[in-house]
Amino acid sequence: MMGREESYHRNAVEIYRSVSGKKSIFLLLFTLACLLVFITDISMGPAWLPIKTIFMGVFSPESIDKTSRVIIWAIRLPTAIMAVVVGAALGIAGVEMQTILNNPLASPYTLGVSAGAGFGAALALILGVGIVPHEGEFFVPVNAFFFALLTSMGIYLIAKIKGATTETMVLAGIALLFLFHSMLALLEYTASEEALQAIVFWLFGSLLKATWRKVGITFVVLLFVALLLIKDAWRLTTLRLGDERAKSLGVDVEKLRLKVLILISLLTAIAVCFVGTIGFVGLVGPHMARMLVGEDQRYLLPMSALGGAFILSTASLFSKIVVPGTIFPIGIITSFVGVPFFMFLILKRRRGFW
Amino acid sequence: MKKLILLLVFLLISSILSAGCIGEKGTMNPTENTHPSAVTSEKKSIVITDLVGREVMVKVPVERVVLLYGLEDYAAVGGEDALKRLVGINAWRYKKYRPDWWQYWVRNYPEIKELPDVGQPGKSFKAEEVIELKPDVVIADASMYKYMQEDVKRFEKAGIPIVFTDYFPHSDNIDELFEEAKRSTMILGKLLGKEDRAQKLVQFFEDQFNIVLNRTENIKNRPKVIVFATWSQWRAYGKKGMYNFWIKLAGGRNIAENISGFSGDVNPEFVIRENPDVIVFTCNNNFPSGQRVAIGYTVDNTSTAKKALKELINRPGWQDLKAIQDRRVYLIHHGISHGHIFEFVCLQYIAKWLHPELFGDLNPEKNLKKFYDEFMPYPLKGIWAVGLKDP
Amino acid sequence: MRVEVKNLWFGYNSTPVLKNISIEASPGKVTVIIGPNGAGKSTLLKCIAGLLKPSGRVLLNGKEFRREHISRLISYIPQDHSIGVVLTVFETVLLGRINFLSWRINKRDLEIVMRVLRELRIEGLASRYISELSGGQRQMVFIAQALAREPKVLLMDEPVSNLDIRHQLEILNLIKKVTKDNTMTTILVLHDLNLAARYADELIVLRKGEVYNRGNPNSVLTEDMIRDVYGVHAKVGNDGGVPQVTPLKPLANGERLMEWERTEKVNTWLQAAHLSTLCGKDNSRKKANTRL
Ligand SMILES: Nc1ncnc2c1ncn2[C@@H]1O[C@H](COP(=O)(O)OP(=O)(O)OP(=O)(O)O)[C@@H](O)[C@H]1O
Ligand SMILES: [Mg+2]
Repeated sequence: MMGREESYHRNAVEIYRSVSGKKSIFLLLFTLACLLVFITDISMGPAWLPIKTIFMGVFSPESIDKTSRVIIWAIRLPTAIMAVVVGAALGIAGVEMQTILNNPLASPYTLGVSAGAGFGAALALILGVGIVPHEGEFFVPVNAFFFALLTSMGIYLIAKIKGATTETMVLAGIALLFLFHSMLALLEYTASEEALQAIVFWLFGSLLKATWRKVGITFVVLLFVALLLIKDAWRLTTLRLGDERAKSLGVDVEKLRLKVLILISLLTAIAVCFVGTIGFVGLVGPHMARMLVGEDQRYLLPMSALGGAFILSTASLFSKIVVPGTIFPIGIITSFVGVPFFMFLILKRRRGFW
Repeated sequence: MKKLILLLVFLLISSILSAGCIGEKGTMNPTENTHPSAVTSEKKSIVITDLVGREVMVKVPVERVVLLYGLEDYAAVGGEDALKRLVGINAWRYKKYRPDWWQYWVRNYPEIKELPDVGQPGKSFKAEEVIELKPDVVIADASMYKYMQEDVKRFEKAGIPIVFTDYFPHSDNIDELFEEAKRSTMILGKLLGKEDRAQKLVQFFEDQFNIVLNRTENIKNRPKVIVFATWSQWRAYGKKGMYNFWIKLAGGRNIAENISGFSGDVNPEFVIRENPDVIVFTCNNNFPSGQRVAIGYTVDNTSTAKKALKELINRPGWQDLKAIQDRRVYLIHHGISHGHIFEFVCLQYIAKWLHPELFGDLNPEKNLKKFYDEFMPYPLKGIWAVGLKDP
Repeated sequence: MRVEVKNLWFGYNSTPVLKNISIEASPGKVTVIIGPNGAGKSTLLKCIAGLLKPSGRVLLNGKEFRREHISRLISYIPQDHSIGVVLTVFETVLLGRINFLSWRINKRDLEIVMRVLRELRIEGLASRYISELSGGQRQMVFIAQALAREPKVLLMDEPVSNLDIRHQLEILNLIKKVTKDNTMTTILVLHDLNLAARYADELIVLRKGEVYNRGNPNSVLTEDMIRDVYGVHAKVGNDGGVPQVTPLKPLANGERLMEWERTEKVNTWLQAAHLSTLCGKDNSRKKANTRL
């Protein structure tokens, strides 16, 4: 009997290792890849600082000249870190949106969060109507954030009343999406030439708006949300078995959905309000992660974050070098970087996902 | 509960919709605006080749005009009298794109406000209304042509001639620009029966340009300059932007020229590396932090503009830029920079900013005033360009 | 753990699907629910599992529990096994241990998973993705998941419907064994009357949301019952003390129609009368109902 228990044990551990070992390797590889891209990202720029200067500048800022210091600390680092943080945020928001809606086409923007944010930003840019009266760095972001959350709260309320099934949420989301889109269109119709350009530019997304303060805020929110989601990792995994199975496993499916909805809304709203609606990352990052590590959320969640960070970081790098001296719109780059990579994964994959 | 939400949503939409409609009412019945037409027998048919290359037959002088663009150029050629011939106007464009100009026009000529607003091609254009107004001619800008293909056909069927003028610079080839402005102005002159005045205006335009061009033609020392839009922090005018042409003609070098299109975002550190001698902000009273009026017809002092400038140059690493240290930072109204017969003033400002030693005697503001005094039905007002060094 | 259902009523909308159900299932016994399609078998299981909120009472050892607690005691396997999720068999079965899982995984949980996989002889599938399995294999995986939970009560909706005869026998033997060994209370929904006869300690016949009859297989599985409930002429023989059903032919159309019509009328009439007055716990009413 003892011997049998023993062999169960060895086998169990072996099988578990074989199932999860590869996943750990993927996580590690992607962490390294992200790091590599990040370092390249801060090394590249029209000022062509030597690598040595950059390293010295990062680790002992006092030892390099003032201009290089400004370039590294005020321009390259905040943008590069923002790319990583926002990429991770969108990756996580995307994967959880796909999980709670049980829908592979979901992204952080599915439930109208970006439409709400866009409308909020437009209100500020076009009418000069803001939640905070202060005109400055946070005038537009706070508006965008407020309306993004407002959208989510709308869906939350409807889901709360009608039951948080995927159908209710998606339908409510689509309704709000259209509502905000048409209100945005209405605003655009009344907008002046420059205000219109500004809102289009805003919607397009840009890392140029990054500052240390914004990086800090986004990072804190990301950390907070990620930790709370990780606590629910197993419950989130069961969601993908279907509502009934999850419920019978003791998961309060509706409560979990609403909770996750709030968390990812917060995350998306904060990312979107600072850098605009950068598309594609929140859709592809999670798919990439799922193809590599499957749906065990203990791996899927960090992997999606890494996937998002990797894509956006690479995009940030490319946006600087496509046309030297200029910043190519990041939204276009993310598609250019993400699509071929995504295609490659689709062609390489063997299993049916969804 | 559900009903309550629905109701709220409905109220929200309808309130926004109605807010958007304010200002649409109050248009006068167009027929009441008719002029006692001049003796018709004096009219003769002429063929005009407009600025998109179409041959158009028009009976001139025209008595009923629908104007889709360029009230300033139209008035400069036709004077106050021409304003009375308007039966419809694209007020939409003015209200949205040049609100301060619109205010000023309306203050001087309240009847303009009563004209039917026929809308902006590609946006809110109402072709039927134009046809109903039975104008003798419709005047539009060449940039609108691509949105008006269908409308043009309908106008032709209805026997309403439409001509396109063009004052936009399309390259730094000054001969082309002169030709373009000349043809546009002469078309207006022919339509309104004011060819002499048009001729004078063309001459004035070329003279004003030549003040700058004569001195910059073979210039070797070309200071580095960049022109930013105020509505987005790093948006600069590139290769195809009008500022690029003005900079070249004024004897400077646009450091953002590798932006291949009209405008694009520059890398902040690129600006630091290039270390421009002059930085210009072009402004339509739109700032990243919201709208406020800093410049234009309604402005009578430079304080808002200077405050805005100080905010605009507050960026990492800029304290050490040459342009900032020398305080060679300027704000210019976007509306005077292109697309109208007085665009020479933008070139003059830029030339003076780039080569202050060369253009010590040049006073662009005075030349603009001169243009207004000689050709416009009302005097120049407001502030159109501000430097950080200005009092 | 003893399961008692008392005067249970349930409807997805205004028409009741379960009407005044009272049944019970005892520990160490396999209780099998049979009945035609749409009789309400799955609905009844879901009510017991706490997934639906019926009126009436579901008692475990004489006590009512809230859903969170129920899920710790009851394992429920739904009828539908179509699922496309990128989880390996091992991970899926491991999810059965969700109440004990944290970021790091316990050896004990791994062992339990392994033991269940062994018992069901699917350890060879352990690192396969469940979306890549055959329908029957997938069904085994979810049985494994349910067993891995070491539940006090096991509810399975047609657990062997996709399995070949060998697996059917193996799984049901295993379930029977586990039920005895762990004094678990097991309630199965089965369509195969012969399997039901063979493995049921207690048989419950549902018909149009009502308990038609219940008791040991010998007393319940009769030719009359099969005709009344399924509308099929059948021969019921005996194979070493276990009733053996041989279906012969469906009732003639006319016969059947009349039967349905009659019941529909009764149903509407019963509804109109608000049923409650009529709903005793006796068996006589059901008979009266069908013999009207
Ligand atoms: N979600 C639902 N909404 C509305 N009605 C439902 C729902 N699920 C089941 N029903 C109805 O309730 C009745 C009982 O369904 P149930 O699934 O319990 O039947 P069953 O006995 O399990 O049938 P089967 O043998 O086909 O699985 C049926 O008439 C069915 O149409
Ligand atoms: Mg069923």
